[in-house]
Amino acid sequence: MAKDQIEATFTQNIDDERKSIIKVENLTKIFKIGRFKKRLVHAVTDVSFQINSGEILALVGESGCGKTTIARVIGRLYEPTAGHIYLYDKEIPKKMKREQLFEYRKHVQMIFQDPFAAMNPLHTIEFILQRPLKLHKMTSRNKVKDKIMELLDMCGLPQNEEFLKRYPHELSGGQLQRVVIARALAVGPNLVLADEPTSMLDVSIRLEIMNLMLDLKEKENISYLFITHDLAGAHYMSERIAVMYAGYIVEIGNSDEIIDRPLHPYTQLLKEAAPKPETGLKPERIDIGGEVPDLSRLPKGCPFRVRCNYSLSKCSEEFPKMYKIGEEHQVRCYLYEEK
Amino acid sequence: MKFLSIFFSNKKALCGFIILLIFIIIAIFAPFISPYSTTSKSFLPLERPSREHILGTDAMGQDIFSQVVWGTRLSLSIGILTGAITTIIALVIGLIAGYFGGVIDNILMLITNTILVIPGLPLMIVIASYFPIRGTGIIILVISLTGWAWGARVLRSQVLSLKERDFVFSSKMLGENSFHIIFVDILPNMLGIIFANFFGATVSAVLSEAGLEFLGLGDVNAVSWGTILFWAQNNMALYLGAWQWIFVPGLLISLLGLSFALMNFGVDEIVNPKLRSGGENL
Amino acid sequence: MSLLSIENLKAGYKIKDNIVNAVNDVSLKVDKNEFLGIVGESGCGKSTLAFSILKLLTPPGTIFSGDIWFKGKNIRTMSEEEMQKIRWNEISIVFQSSMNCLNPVKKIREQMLDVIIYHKANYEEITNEEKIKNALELVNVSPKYLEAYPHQLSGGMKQRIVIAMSLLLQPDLVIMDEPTTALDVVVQRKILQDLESLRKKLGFSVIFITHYFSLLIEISDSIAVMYAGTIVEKAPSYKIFSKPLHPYSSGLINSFPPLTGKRERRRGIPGNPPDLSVKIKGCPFFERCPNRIEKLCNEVNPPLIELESDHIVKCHLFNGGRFRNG
Repeated sequence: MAKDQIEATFTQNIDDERKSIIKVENLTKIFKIGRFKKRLVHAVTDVSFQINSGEILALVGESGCGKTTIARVIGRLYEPTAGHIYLYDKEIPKKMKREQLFEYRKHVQMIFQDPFAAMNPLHTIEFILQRPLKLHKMTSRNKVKDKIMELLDMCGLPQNEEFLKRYPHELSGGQLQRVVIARALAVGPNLVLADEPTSMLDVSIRLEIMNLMLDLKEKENISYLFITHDLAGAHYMSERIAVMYAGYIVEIGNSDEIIDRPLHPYTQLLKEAAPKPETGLKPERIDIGGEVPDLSRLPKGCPFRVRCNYSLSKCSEEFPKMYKIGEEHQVRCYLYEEK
Repeated sequence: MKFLSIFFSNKKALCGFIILLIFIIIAIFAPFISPYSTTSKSFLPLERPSREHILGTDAMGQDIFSQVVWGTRLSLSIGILTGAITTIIALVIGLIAGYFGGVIDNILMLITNTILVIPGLPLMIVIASYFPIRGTGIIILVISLTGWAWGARVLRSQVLSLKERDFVFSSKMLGENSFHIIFVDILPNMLGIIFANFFGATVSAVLSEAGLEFLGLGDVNAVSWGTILFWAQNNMALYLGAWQWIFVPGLLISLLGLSFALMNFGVDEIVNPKLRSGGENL
Repeated sequence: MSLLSIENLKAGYKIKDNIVNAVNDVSLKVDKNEFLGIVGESGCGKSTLAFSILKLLTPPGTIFSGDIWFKGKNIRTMSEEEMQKIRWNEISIVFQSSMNCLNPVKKIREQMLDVIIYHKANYEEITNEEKIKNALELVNVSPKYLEAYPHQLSGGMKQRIVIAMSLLLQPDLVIMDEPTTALDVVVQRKILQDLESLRKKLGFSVIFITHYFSLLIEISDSIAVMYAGTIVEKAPSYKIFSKPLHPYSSGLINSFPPLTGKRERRRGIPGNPPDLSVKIKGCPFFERCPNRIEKLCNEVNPPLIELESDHIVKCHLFNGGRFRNG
């Protein structure tokens, strides 16, 4: 396939404002583990959502719910087992050729949870930022330094030689995470997959990084898939929230609506468990037992039914579909079947 | 460099290094240290240790001390060279198997595990004795071809764990190719364990080399500690009371192996920061 | 009389010629049955404080000066044997990584028995077996898990067991340093719920150390805010939330966006926490403080001001703005 043909596949019409950047449909990822590859881990099952231009979708869930796997499948670090991924409304083939994958990387990038683990400790900051620019030939050779300074400026980092000569371990967590973001922005992506980007940072730094991401969204029109376990952080960052449990999306909709009126019993549980001192109320008592299920041993039917106070008999037979409540709000729960 | 200071601050490693250094000096300055040539047979055979012959003479009338001094060159060079070759083979196989996984990994691991199951020394003896020629080259070949298996497993598991680290994922996300990831991201972060492997392989090589030569599978006319032992054994040294003929080369072989084993403690401290002494971290 | 009273404690680390003042003149009181929260970010000295109370600091860590009164006796002057009687029996401690400190090759039963036997708490009324079963029941863990090895248990389960172990000898005070931070939010909430019921039942005090301010407000009676080795504010929890006085306290609370309510941009705290190995003149928060007073805050150490009987703050702003010379 000729290079310009590949590029054309991934070119976006910049005029279109609410243009879909990424859309996933019925995405499923199953890992085979164990000595004879017999055990199946259903990390992601039947996930569908869309992220438009300049929009942030938060993916919320506890550990082991599959949210990191979704990011890695969209980022093509893993191949999907089933389902479709569309970039700018054009489908991405399940097996991508090297040139296609390379081109894809210009549009979809990732930032990671632990900035110290995300950097090769033996490289200087300059080398780290140079690499994507040179690899993807983002500028001519003599303009590389200028572009690096631009990236440093965009991400609130000191624009001087001394800083560029430092190594990752010489920086603070907050500064290094800014470098992670700068590196991801170097190739000019339209979608950034942010996998818990603030969980390992100091509290007073978290808000700064979140605000930086919001600033970049506004200035550079970048969309995010913001993955977190913190419902309050999700609410702060994004217009829309998707709640994940045991590899499924159980509820998705407008951020304010999901927090004010959580429909799925699991979302309600997350809300009850989350601290909300601003309400001035004593926290309610949670009576739901159990823990998140093992993804290789999912029960038949709805995986939440074992812990659910409202489970019906049909919950143990078949997994519910997504039911639409209002314009943007969807729930995967039989309680809302007839709405 | 910081690593050198950590290495030398470990007393065992320092000890090992000094022993090795002494051997290297002996090897380099052998012509000056050795009182006689190794081939001059003009002395009385089986003399007791004396001032003219510090370790006495052997059954052919050659000075043992000179042989031991000259023997340092071969024993040292074969040992280290073989250790290096073994480590390189182990590294290549470990990298390929660990990084690419899948069928390649399965095949390579099958071969590795098969070689591991077969006892080392007997295998080496069998292969070496079937070769029509004898010589140091054969010894190096035989030891490296049979000794890489353990290192390959160790290095492969290190690659497997490094492969799942976020900085490898981020290199992939940026579009780096496998070559870059293996040689720029993974390999430099494995240097510590590669060195540890090298030291371990060298200990093993020194001992295997001595063993094969002792059995006469090396070049028996070359002068190395192992071949000295071969001739000593063949001439019933102990029976004839020339215990130093066997004891001294044997001791030196053990010391050389020991020196690398001791230096490995230093490498451990570099690789695992938690083992470091000196109150550095809290 | 307070259960625990820390007076002007200074502790830290001596590395070659460098002194790190991790705990820099801390005074705190904990009453009987009180739940005191200590909130601070990493590097503020809170863990050093926790270790100091039980004299668990090992070189290069050491207590420089100050007193720690527990039930009227001074811990600082106690011998190691006396300390051993206090540890686990009267004051116990739970760390964040405690669940990883469980011995992987011993069953849970053995590890719990070890605590009883080592601290010689073989009181004869009930058998040791009953004691450990009761302890597990307190934290809602089935006694069948006594037969398990740590690797067979989930994180939440292990942490519950560690908490049970800390309560085995029925101490009067339990110190907890980020005990639930590594756990999911639902598991965390349930453990804290159960801890609260336990407190009501058995009657013990808790010092709960964490960075998670919004959670702490809901679970503590009072909160002490720690910054750069000092307590900058202490007040009842909802009071500190609704009207934080110290600029750091309000900045820190602000860093936690509310779950409910309108979505709007918030400002955090610019800059970085100070280096504790460098002696700081004046207030350690000066560089980052939006309300700082030049020539005062960076020259003179702020005084500890008692605004009401339960609200103290260490800040010049509440001193009537008066200049203090020298």
